[in-house]
Amino acid sequence: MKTKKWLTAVAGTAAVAIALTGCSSDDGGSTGPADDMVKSGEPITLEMWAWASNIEKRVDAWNAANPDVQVRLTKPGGNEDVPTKIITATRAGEGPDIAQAEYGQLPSMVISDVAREITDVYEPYAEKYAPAINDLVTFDGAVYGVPQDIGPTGMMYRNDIFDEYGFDVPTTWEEFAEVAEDIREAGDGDMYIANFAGGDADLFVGLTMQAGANWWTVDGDEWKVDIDSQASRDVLAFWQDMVDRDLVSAVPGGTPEWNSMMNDGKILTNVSGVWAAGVMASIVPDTIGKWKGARTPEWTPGVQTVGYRGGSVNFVTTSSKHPEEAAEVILWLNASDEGAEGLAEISKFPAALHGQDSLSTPPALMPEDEDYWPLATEIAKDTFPIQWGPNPNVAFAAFTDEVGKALTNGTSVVDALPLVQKAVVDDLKASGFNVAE
Amino acid sequence: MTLTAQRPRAQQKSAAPPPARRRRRPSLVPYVFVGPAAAFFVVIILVPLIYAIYLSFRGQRISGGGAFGRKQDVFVGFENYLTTFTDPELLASLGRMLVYSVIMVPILMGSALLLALLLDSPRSALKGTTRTAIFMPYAIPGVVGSLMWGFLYLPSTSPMHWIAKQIGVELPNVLGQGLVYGAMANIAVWGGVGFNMIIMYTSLRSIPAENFDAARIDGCTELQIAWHIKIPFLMPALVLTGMFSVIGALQVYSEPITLASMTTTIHSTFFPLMAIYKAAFQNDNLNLAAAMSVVLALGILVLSIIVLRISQRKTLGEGR
Repeated sequence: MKTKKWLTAVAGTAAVAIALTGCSSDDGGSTGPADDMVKSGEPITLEMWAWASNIEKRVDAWNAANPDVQVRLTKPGGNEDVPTKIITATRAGEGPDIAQAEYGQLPSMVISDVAREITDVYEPYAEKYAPAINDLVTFDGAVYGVPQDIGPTGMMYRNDIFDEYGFDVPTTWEEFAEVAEDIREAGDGDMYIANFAGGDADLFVGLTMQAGANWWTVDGDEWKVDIDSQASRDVLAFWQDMVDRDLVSAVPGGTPEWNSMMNDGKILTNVSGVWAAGVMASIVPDTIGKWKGARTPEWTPGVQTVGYRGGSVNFVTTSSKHPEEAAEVILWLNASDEGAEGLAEISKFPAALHGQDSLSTPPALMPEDEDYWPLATEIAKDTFPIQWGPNPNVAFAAFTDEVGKALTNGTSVVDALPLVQKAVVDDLKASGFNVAE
Repeated sequence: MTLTAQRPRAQQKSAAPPPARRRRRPSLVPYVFVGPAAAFFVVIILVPLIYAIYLSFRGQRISGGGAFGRKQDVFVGFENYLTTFTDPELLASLGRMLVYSVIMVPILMGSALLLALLLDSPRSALKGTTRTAIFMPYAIPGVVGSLMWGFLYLPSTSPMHWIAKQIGVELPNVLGQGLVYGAMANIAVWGGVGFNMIIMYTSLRSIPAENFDAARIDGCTELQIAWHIKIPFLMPALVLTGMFSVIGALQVYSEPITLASMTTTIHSTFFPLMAIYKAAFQNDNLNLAAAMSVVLALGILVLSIIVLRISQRKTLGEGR
């Protein structure tokens, strides 16, 4: 009897280990194009993993025009775990032909040998993009992806409430803090200029970069990590001060709580990628038409620099059996004039310049604001080239955790920076990279 | 292997009374009978376990140098285990898991036992309906339950907070530090109490009624019957459910991962399983995750054996 009990215990505990080590590569369970070995002239099917909203409309357009190269789209859910899913699946030889990644995730796709080089076929299309955008997909002189959309940061504000109380739209962060005080004193005293969503690493990386921080830089064969820099510290100290003086709310972003505060007019601005004006409409349906777009406040008056938040690329995987066709698809989808116009139609902020010019219908959040897209296009011109490192996932997770802990414990969020720095450097070293001290 | 080890003992037992009844040549039948279980064990448990252990000794390392070198799968020895044991955050997450277990398990077991005894008492009414009502949350997926409770916890969406505000009372944020363990334990108890209660209740119904008649004739009150007869009879069921509850508490995952998006109190490595998930699926370090899993599984195994040994000796005695 004893043995049996013991075995039950073993079984129970071993089950944990299995549940934890289970491989996630079998997503969708569909057979890859690898199976339909092509005889020339026979139609092929390319597998594509992409989470972009409405992208299926563009894929349908391709499929209708190209019966010989069909694309089968799978939406692999929330984008936090997707990079690992793609890497794991490709290592297992079961990956898609085409995948989507954020700009920050592309270096890890290159290093994991998942993204295939497309330098030659990309070359004729390079002129379609601003040089800073081409830099985002180029590593060691080789191109690994086709930019789809970009997320230069902008600020949306509640035009109606700003008008009602006569608040000025801040153009510098200093003014931002002053207006924040006015807003706290106005009305019932339950309005905030903004929410400090400390967990939103993506946004704060962009904001520190706006202030001049370079989280990762390449120096010859070495990576230099400078997350705990003066620029980053200044940005976080600014927000910490705002939190301390109760000038901003501090609830996790994207939660029901945040949604209701946004919808009820308790939070009056939102700094995010310019694409957010399309997404926000479904979160704050009661406030449609009450928003306007503006530039993100600046650190130095008159000096306009714009960081990124979000934006993504399509790339061909190394496991694809039809890399040429796959590259053709993503070049048409994103870089060709026809494709870029199509992206504008599905409310993306296209990375291709032609696409930006063709944005005509104002975003869903501000259906009357004809100035929004022209402003966004102007903003996009002030973005600057940035370098993403091999492990932004580690940096983002550490940032979210450490800032969250600081907020919970009531300590300064500035103290999170050295911890994030250490986590990123440790991870790089453990992976075998050379890291400059 | 281990499975076959129990065969001779079982045979000895059944063969003992009529001595040397039939001493035939070894038959294949026992092996055929044990076959499905053994195959299941090997395919579903042993092979993945060995694979996990294999993975835990490997790692993705940059080869060829350069800032954009390529990662390759190499043997790294005990490096992943070293990382596991020297990571202060993982140790801290184990501590949090223990705090949670110490809060959750006694409340779960206590309330399940109380509900089972109350339902079993001759004077309670509406037994069937109540039983179903208590059991119902068990049928609701953990994530859904956690989401629902999360909405009830968040001050801006919670009707409780709204009502309290109307009468001028400020309720504390249960997702804040300190109270968050209670908030999570509450969801686990809400979801699990029905299951444990049903097991105990079923076990209570199988106690021969003459025990109670005898006790009543001897002048026992219902409370004394519960204490002196029902609970001792329940011991095997209590050990079983207690064991499940402890293992469940050590594997806590769906409640915190769901609540994590609603509060900064629960960070991404709050509990060990969350840390393992993060290593595997956010940091793309399946190998470290494998090492952590092996360590955690061994820890739970040892703990389970200790709990079993103690409770077996105390409750089941050597005769059973």
